[in-house]
Amino acid sequence: MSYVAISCFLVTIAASLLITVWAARRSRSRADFFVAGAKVTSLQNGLAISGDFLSATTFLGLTGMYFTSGIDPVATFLISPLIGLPLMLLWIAGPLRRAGKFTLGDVMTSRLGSQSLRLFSGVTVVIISIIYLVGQLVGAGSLISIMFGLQFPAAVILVGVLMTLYVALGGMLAATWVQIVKAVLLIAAVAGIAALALVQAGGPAALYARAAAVHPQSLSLFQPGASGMSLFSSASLMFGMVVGIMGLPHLLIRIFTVPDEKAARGSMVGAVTIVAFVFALLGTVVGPASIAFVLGRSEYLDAAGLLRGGANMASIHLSQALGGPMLMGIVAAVAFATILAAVSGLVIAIATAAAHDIYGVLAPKAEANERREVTVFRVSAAGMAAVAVVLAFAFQHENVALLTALALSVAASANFPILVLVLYWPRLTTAGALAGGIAGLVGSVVLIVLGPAVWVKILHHAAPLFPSDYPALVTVPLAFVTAVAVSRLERAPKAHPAPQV
Amino acid sequence: MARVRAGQVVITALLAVVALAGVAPAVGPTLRPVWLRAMVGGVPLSAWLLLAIIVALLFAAWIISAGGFQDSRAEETDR
Repeated sequence: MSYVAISCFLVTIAASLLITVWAARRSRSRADFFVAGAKVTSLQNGLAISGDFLSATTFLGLTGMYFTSGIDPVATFLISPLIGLPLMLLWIAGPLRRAGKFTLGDVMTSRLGSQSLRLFSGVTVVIISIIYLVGQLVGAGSLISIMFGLQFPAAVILVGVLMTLYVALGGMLAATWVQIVKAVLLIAAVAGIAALALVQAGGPAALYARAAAVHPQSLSLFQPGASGMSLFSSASLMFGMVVGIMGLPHLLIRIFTVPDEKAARGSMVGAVTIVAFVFALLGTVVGPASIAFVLGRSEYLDAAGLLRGGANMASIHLSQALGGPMLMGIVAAVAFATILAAVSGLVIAIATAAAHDIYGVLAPKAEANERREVTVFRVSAAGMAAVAVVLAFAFQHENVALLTALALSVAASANFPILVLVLYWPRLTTAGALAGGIAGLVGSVVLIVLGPAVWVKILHHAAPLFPSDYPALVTVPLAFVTAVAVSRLERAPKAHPAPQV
Repeated sequence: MARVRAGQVVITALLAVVALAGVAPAVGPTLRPVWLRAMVGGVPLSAWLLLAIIVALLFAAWIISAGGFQDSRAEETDR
C-alpha cells in the first residue's frame, strides 16, 4: 500500500474525529444525541440517507458483481432501492415524522399506547441492527485488511473503537455529518472514476466494445441470465429489498432528525436524486469500466491468476488503472469512510432503541430523566459495539451476504408490516401488532435456516426444506395476515384514533 | 384526501410494474432475451433500459413530491 493511501487513511480518521469533537460540543440533550436536535435540513438529511445506501457494499460489492457476472444480478440491487425510497416518500415519511419523536417505539405507542409493543419494537430494532452491523464489520475487516494491510482483528477493533467514539461522544449529529461528508466524497469519487473511464476509453461505445472484447462472456455480459436464480428467489429478493428498506431502523430514524413532515419528504426526494445519479453511473459506466480496464491485466492478478483481493477490489484496481496510486489512495480512503459512516449509523439505531425503548420500558421511572437516558445511550453504544466486534470475530468466515439478507428479511417481515398497519389501519390492536411482528420475525429466521444457504451449505443436508434464501415473499404476507387476523379475533377494536397532530 | 389516496395507489401500482423489470433476470435463464444485448449507439440496450428505469424512478419521486400525493393530513389540518 502506497504512502498516498496510508496518508488518505489517516486523514479520513482525523477528519471524522474532528467532526465528532465538534458534534460533542454541540450535543447536550437527549434530543441532540438521539435525533441531532431535529435540526438537520432536508438537503443534509437527503445526503445522509443516500449515504446509507451508498455503502461499501454498493460501491465495492456491486462493481465487483458487475466485474464477475455483468449487468444481470446488479440490476436488481440498483433498481430495488429506487423503488423502495419513492414508496417510503409516498406512504411512510410524512406520517412517520408526524407520529414519532425519537424511535419506532414512539410511533407504535403514539397509536396503541402499549409499552409491550414499544419493548418489542426496541428489541426488534436491536436484533436487525446487530445482524446488519456484524455483516458490515466482517466485510469491513476483510476489506481494510486487503486495502491497508491491517490484520482482520486489528481492522475490526479499529472500526469498532471509531464507531463507538462517534456515537458515544457526538451522537446522531456526529453520525449524520460523518455520513454527509462520506456521501459527498463518494459521489465525487464515482463521478470522477466514470468521467476518467469515458475519456480514457474514448466514449461509451468504445468502453462497452473494450469490455465485451476482454470478458469471456462477451456480449452476454449485457444480457439477463447470469445469476441463475429461480423466478421465486428473484421476485422474493426484489420484494424483500423494496419493503425491507422501509423497515430498516437506521434509515427510518433519520426521518426524526428533520424538523417537520415537509423536510422529511424533501430529504427523501434529495436521497432518491443522489442515489439515482450514483447508481446510473455505477450500472452503466463504472461496472463495464472495471472489466474494460482491469480484467486480464497481470498487475492486478495474484499468483493463482485471480483478481488480487477478490472481486470486491475491482473498483479499487480500476481507480489505480485510471488515475495511478494517487487516485487509488483517495478511493480506498473514501471506501474506508463509507464503512465508518455505515456502522456508526447502525450503532445509533441500536443505542437509541436500547436507551429510549428498552430501558424506558424496563425502568419507566427513569424515562423522564434525560441525563440518565443519555448515559444509557452511551453505555449501550459501547456495549453493543463490543458485542458486535466479538460476533464479527465469530462470523469471520461466514457468508456476509447471508447476514445482510437475514437483516433485510427481518426488517421487511417484522418491522414493515406493523409500521404500515400502525399508520394506516385504525382497527389494529396491540395483540395483533405483537402477533404479526413475532410471526414475521420467527418466520423469516426459520425459513432462512431451512433455505439453501444454511440448511445445505452450513448444515450439510442434501436438499433445502425451503427453496430460496430470500423468504420475504412468504413472511411479509404472513405478518400482515397474522396481525389482521389476531386483531379481528380479539374483537376489541376500541377505535384507537389515528395519530393526530 | 380521496384524491391523495387514489394517487398513492396508482403510483404504487406503477412502481410495482417497474419492480417487475428487476425480476427480469429470473426469466433470463429460460428466455435469455438476446435483444437486450443489441447495441444502440454502441451501448447495449440493457444499459439504456437500466438508465431509463433509473430516470423514470427519479421522476416518480419528483412527481410524488411536487404533485401532493403524499399523506399530509397534518398540513391539511393546519389549513
